[in-house]
Amino acid sequence: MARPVGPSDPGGQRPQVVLGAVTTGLLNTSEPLPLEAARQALALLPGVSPDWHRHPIEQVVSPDIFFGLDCRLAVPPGAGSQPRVIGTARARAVLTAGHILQGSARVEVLLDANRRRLPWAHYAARTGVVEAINRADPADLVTGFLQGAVNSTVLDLGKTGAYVMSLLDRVPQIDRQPRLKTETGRLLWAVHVQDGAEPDSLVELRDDGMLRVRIGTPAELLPQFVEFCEILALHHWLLSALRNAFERSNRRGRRPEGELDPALSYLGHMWNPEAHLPHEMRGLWQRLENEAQLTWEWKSTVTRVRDKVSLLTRKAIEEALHKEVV
Amino acid sequence: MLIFSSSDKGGTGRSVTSCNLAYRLSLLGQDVAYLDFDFGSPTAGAIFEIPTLERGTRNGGLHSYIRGRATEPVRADIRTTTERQVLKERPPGSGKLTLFPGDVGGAEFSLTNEHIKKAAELFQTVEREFDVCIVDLSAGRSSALDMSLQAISPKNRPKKAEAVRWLLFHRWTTQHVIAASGLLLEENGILSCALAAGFARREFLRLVRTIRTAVPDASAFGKKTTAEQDAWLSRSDDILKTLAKSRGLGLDMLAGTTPLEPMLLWREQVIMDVDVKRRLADKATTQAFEELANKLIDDEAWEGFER
Ligand SMILES: Nc1ncnc2c1ncn2[C@@H]1O[C@H](COP(=O)(O)OP(=O)(O)OP(=O)(O)O)[C@@H](O)[C@H]1O
Ligand SMILES: [Mg+2]
Repeated sequence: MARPVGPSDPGGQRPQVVLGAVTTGLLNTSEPLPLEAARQALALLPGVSPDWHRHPIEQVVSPDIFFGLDCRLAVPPGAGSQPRVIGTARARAVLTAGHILQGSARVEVLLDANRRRLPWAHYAARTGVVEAINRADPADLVTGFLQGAVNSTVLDLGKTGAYVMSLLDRVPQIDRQPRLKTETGRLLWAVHVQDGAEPDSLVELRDDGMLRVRIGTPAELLPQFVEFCEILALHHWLLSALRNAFERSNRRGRRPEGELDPALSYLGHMWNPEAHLPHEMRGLWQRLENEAQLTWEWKSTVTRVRDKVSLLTRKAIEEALHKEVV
Repeated sequence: MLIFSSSDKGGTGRSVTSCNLAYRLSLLGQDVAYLDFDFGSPTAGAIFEIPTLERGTRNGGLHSYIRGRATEPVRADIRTTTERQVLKERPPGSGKLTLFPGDVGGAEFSLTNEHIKKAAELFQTVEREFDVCIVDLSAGRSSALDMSLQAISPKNRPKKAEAVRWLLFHRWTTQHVIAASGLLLEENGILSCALAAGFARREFLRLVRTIRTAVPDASAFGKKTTAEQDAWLSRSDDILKTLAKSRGLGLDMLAGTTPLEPMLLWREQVIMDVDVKRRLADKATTQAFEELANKLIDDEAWEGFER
């Protein structure tokens, strides 16, 4: 079930390109936020309560908030000048199981709009939409955006996502003492809007650790696709975080339990990619599973972690017994 | 944990020692980040022998990040980017070793609140991923130093955050002792800057320890020393110790000493155990680095006795 999205362009123009980013990380706190506190924390707009569900896994989604933009869009080298765009980006925070926080941001890009900058009221009425003042090729925008923003003159939705996450740092229940070292997960996605097409995606993971998703899809499926990306980002992060904890448990001079216990209690119960997956996206997910075997890898990693924990427990018990006998 | 490396003069061995400490800490199983805040001359890339980062990066290093020109600072996995074969290997049980380089052609800048906010955010992000984060500041007072003090001051850093250590590097000579003490304690020095940033005097000085670098022993006189030389050396050492104590840099402040290492006289680099095995480096050098690294992550050893 796709979450509702705000009104798109009232002028009726359709975006040719939609660009987005999802950043994922552990909420900066030692224990998960209870649902009530999470609902308060994610009420990022006064008077609008966040969406939430309790089953099958607790999740709270903030209302959309908007950020004014006047910047350039990256294009690949040799593809000419970077078009200037003006408008607003749409962003929201998603908190899963009270502990995994995501900042998700996106813009719809109108390419055949006004060729000069209009008064701000014009853009303010079209939330989540930017208008390009210069001509550009949709395919170039997709490729350029997925390179990642290297400087601060081009659109950087990852930064917007990170900012949305940082809003949660102010919540009083947050003690800034997570018991796990984790890296922020980054995902960029870009849609070339193609009416009547079957959604077809390409997921890529490069050395820089950033996930990149490129898709051609009709406009109606955009909200579902955004959720697909959020779910992918969440699960990719879960896998990385668990593997990192397992690796860290083998370090010199460290109690393995210090890594494995919080990893299991924070992450162990979280894997459920199909829980909130819109049914239109099931095909895409299935294809990804077939190729990348994410669920298999998760299961085998959890097994390794659990095996190690039980081995450690058995050792501890044996040592205790041994002491008693002696 | 956040560790800051400061020194009064250039050429004290601050960067080389900090890089070696980063390396040793990673061998101890710590995930280590090295932040090159010596914006004027970022040398860590050269010390870790990363050809593309010899003098910093051109793709948005820490200097660009702090100044708001890069959205995320570039990072490099030292083991996969170094040119030095033996450094590429990651021994079992060791941790990550990551460099956040400075920028080619970075320079001093005038400090704003925006920069301080960026620095505080940077520290917070890096600490959430790494066990230890070493920040190499340039010699003397700099914007990076002021910015760091502000970012870690009780005003900006939550009480329960991880430990902070402040290292002051100096050579073991009369002038270097006087200069280091001046930088820490005199007007416009580190301490007064810390007080202005919101620290209480005692609270800040608790974080500070000195490292005496490249300290020679009698062998510097040659293979055989005369009795006169031995006596002179021991007397000079005593005079220095008295001087250091009277200038507030006594034993209670001392984190450790690194011996004069001939290899480092030719080349700024990481001294590895294989260098000792090949009988190039002195065992005393790697031992000193390892001891210091151990001390840095052991709260009790670090605190020593209460001052
Ligand atoms: N223990 C040592 N024995 C001998 N030489 C050393 C030792 N430690 C450092 N050096 C050498 O001292 C010189 C200065 O070291 P380094 O570049 O680390 O200084 P620095 O304090 O970072 O200087 P700057 O302020 O210019 O950055 C280098 O050539 C280095 O190899
Ligand atoms: Mg240096």
